[in-house]
Amino acid sequence: MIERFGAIEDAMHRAKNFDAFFASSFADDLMDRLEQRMNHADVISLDVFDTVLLRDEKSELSRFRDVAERFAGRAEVREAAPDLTMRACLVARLYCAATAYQLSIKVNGATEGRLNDIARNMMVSLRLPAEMAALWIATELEVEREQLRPSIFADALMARAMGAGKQVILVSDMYLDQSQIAELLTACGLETARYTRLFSSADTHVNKRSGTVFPMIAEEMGLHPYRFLHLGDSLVSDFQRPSQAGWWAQHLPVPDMMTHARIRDHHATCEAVFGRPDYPLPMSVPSL
Amino acid sequence: MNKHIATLGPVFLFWISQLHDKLAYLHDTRGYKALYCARAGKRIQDLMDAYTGGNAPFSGDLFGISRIGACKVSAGDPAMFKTVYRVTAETLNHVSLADLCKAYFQHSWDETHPQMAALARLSQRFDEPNFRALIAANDPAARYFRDTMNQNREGLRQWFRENLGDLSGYVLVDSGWKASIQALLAEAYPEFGFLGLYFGVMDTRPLENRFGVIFDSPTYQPGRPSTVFALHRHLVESILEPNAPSIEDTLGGPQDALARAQLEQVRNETPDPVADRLFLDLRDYIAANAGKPIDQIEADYRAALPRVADLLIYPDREDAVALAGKDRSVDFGREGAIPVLADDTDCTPDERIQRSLWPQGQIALEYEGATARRLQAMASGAQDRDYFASHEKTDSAASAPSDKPAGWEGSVAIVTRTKNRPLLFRRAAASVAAQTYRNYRWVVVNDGGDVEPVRAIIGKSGVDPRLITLVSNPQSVGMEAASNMGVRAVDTEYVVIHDDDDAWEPDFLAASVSFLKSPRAAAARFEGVLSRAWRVSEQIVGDRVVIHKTEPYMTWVSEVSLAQMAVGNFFAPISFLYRRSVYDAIGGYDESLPVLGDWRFNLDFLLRANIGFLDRYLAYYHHRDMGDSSKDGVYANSVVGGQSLHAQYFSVVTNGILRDPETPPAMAAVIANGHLQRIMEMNFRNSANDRNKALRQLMDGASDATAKAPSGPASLPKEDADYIRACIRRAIPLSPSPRKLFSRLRWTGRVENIEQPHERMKWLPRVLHLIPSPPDFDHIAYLRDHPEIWATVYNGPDQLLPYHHWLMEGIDLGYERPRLKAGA
Repeated sequence: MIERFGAIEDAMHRAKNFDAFFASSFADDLMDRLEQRMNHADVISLDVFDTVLLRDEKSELSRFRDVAERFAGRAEVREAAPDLTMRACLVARLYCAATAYQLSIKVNGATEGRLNDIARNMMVSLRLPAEMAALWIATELEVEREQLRPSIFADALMARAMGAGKQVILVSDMYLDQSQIAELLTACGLETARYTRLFSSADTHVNKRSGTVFPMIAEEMGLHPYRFLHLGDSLVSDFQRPSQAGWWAQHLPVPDMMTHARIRDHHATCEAVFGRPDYPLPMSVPSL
Repeated sequence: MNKHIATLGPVFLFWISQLHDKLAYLHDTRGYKALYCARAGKRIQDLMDAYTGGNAPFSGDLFGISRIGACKVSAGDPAMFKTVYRVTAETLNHVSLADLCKAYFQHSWDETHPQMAALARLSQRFDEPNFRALIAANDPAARYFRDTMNQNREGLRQWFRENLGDLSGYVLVDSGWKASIQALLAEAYPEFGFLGLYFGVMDTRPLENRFGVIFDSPTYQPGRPSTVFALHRHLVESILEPNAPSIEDTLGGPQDALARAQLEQVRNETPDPVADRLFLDLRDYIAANAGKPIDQIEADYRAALPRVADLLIYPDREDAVALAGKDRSVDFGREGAIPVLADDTDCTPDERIQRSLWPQGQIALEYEGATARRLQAMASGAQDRDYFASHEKTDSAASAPSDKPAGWEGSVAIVTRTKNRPLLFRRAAASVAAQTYRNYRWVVVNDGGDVEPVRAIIGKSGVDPRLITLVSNPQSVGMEAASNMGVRAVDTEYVVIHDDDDAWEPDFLAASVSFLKSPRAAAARFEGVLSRAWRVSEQIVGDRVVIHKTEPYMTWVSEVSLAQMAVGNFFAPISFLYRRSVYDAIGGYDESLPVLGDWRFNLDFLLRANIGFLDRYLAYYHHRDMGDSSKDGVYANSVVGGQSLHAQYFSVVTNGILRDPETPPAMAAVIANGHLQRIMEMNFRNSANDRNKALRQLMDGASDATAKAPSGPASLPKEDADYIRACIRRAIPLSPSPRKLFSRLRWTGRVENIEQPHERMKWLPRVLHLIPSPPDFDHIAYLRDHPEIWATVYNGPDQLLPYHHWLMEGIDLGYERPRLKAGA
């Protein structure tokens, strides 16, 4: 007997985009599988970005460019620094983020950058008044809101989980803190009643990527690891690491075509802003 | 602006701007204060002032420290010995302990001081055991050494506290390259959370919280332009070296005043308008361009890097002279300087190039034109130096067949056979999931065992489900048939058998595939690769695996020849990754063999293709060779548990090969020779065993003989007996006092026969405090060779000494009396 695994995950990889997958029969199979697994769990844990809130085909670099452009065009900024360009803001954002990830406090061997810290450091780099950091943060959240939409599938899953008496938590590796993520969720129409806890690595420092957040959550919630079911789009952070920590896990990958589009978009933005599609930047290029 | 500043200016400006932002971040988020480590720190601070106009958004101070200064604060603490020794040994070679002490005390060295005079007599070689013995010793001189170092440590701790104020920790700012000072201070003062920010880091040894702003690489890597500074880091050091001596005394320590005076010298240094032209011009460049926006600074830096590479790899004569920099001053308590470019006229050009601290620059002085460029490229690793590798062309590597799907090229089938061994299978699953290389298909063959536990383990393994295939046999089909089923269940370029009881390092697949894809592998027709393995001896106890021993497996292997394989199989499947095309040509594993199937396969493989050797330990070959799990049951190894079966089937395999009419004559000859070799090895082993047994009997007899005689303590050598008598006479001098005279007479009589064991044991304990260590007794060597006495009264701060241990016990135990070299 030969059994191949990963049919649902494969279908998700091959789908044209999120909507195409969630409109297919595989989505029903996925929901069935998750409902079965939920029977053995007390807590349903979901990643936020590209799981509960879906991004489009823009790359992170493009998103930062959009934020930089909007920020540099704001009246208060023009007044304080008339010669400030989008490009300067973008470079500052990238390098200050790299600094934050490199030099932030290590907790259990894990480091994490925080947007609040990044923004303040950006103002030093750009020689702008410190109080403008809040304006950068507000601009970034504004652009995020415009480029995110809620996942109807995740919303339905969360509703079913709560209806079945499970706790629903959200766990995100992100430079946005809990309040900032909660603001985005609300702005995208996701009721705060849908989840009981929201963990952001910007607050906890321990994160999914290193695997350190899962034991922390289990201990904090007083439950055995196998009572948790986690879902998310990252193979390492949302599937391998929780599995290694003893959690049940379901990988919900970003469709490959969307990832390819984001890669193309990254290189196109690189070329448009820096003159070369492969310009070396202190950030990761999206990858399959 | 000259071309050198036009090239280096943007690099230094980018470095300072990034350093500025990072220091601001650390100050803002973690309350960290910058310490610019003099001497380079002085000029870094100058460049930072040029950038900020004196208005930095963080707190920073000039800090007087050096590598030897950092060693001095830690050398008194045995817990820090390893780091202190490593850093000291990087600079001080072929010196004595006396030289070491002189370097450590340097400006306060005074051989009229009794303890320093004693330290000056330590002629033992400076090496790890001797240095460790010096730190552990408790004679007055060693204690003086330790106490002085400890005073340094506590003094500097106080300085750190006073200078921190309301802040939380320190970040060290320096040029580079191994961050030895940071390593020492972080270990000595963990409470200050030392971080380090450097122009560059060049070190293979990992160190937490150490960051190179421009580069972090021990060598130049052509694909990473900023690492070109690794070829000529002296350029950066020279630019940043002020005209003041190194600060080798410790702030807050016994030489605090001297340290502060040295620091002021550095602070007040005046750059020389000629020798420091580069620094002055760079400072001006930074001041003139500090107002540029960050994106322009970054773009100028990126554009400059290729020009930097050109200057440092292919300098012409003018570049070499301009960028050689100042002579490199030595440190660590020594004086002098080493020129970057050699100018000895009594050497050949090649000798000068080898001695030079910047070979590319030296080549520019010795040669011209194409010759110079070719040699400079070779010196930089930019050109393949290996004449004999000219046949290794990158286009000689095979490309994927056109009918294969995307992702087939480089894909690996990992075949795991399992049968009712969930405890071990879970470990194997973790080993697969941990692989850094992701282009694989994991085929699990459940050969007649319970499939549900296998599914459960697969489900929680963390392996991408799309990559997993489960082949489940209701009845066992045997090891080799199971392997074939697994291999044939998927289509990949490579194959490896990962049994359910073995494991890999996370980069096994990455390293093995990379090896086979290399031009060298293609040129040598390596279609498989073997890496080294650890042999792990373990035992199943309940639901746990208990590891008893891990040791290198088959360390003699360095290549894989058919002739050697004919003698016997010498590697496990876990270490062997190979190309599927050879498996197809062979037709798979021989399913008629219950054991030795992998040996037969390896022979067939070597008949058709070569197997390369990767000299890295990347696999773990586990044996249940202890306890009940070793022989029988599901957890038994086929090697250990099926030993007699191996012996029986050995001839089945060889006879089968020889009988087969398709076997090439060469193979038959190799098999026959292998048989002869096995006979020779067996005879040699038996003969060696007999000889060893006889030798052991002889030695046991001899040691018994030694143990039997002498029957009591040994006699004291005459020179030591005379020395003791002289000490007694000195301690109790002639005196008109009748009581003192009587005491002298009594003790002179008691020690008259002190050579005798009985007399020695009776009287010496009462007068040991009157007997100092003789000048020629090497107490450091004695402590080094007998660490068991370190924590005894014979190494105490009180009156007993290592010499006393030798007098009272060592001589009877047969310990040699160590002597200092004459003239010490």
